[in-house]
Amino acid sequence: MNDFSEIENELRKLRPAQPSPILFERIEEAMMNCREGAWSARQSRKPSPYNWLSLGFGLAAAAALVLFAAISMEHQHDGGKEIAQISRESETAPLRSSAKESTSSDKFLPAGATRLVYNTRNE
Amino acid sequence: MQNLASHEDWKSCFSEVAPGLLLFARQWVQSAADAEDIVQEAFVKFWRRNHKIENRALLYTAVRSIALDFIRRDSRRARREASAISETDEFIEPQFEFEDDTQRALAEAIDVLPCEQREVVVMKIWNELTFAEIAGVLGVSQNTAASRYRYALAALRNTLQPR
Repeated sequence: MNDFSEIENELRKLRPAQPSPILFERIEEAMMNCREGAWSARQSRKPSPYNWLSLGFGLAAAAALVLFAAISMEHQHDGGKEIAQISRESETAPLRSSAKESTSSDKFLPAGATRLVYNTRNE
Repeated sequence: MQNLASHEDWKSCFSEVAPGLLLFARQWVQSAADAEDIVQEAFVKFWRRNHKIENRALLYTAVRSIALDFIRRDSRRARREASAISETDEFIEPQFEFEDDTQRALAEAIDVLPCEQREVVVMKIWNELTFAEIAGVLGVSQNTAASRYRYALAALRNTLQPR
């Protein structure tokens, strides 16, 4: 690199042409436009209250839907139990009456019969 | 070292780097006005993205890419201008402020350097970029940047040596 120090010094003595004063004005103007543009962009990026409102409505609707689904599922579950109980009662009632003399109805439940009722009901 | 975010900072930063930037842009365009357009666009973009002046390599990258875009966009006009210049020998604003004939000869020698060597010399001498920064701007290795610089200086020295 030392071989070139002389030519490097000569090159450094050369001064590049200065920019025109108009360039500073133009850049200043562009900077101002830029700032205004950035400000308006920030403003436009700000979410409006209407967006919040619709978001709120959406969330409320979704929550209501989930609640409704949960309730209906629970209801369905309870209904199934009722069916089972009813079927149990209805099917076991004659059994109870017939078995009244020998055994207590609470002590014996024909599991196969109940299962059969479940299956037919479910079908 | 300053951030270019404030109004006053950009002016001091720009006045410091503007001559070198313009010289850098003049490698691709004939007229000083076009070079100023390129530098303006690059500097405003650089400032808008809130870059710091120590990342100046980004500024030169922006100037280079905008200048190349300008050439592509305006190639037809540039060809027309080039032919008009060659026909009428139109005045082209000098890139340097000469003090004597030796400096004029040196400037002419720089003009005839291959573009890839000239841009390295311009970034190194008048913009004081390191080889690492130059390599970043050009997308080449530091060794390539350094060897281009050495070739350029050797060519300039040969041109200026008295025969």
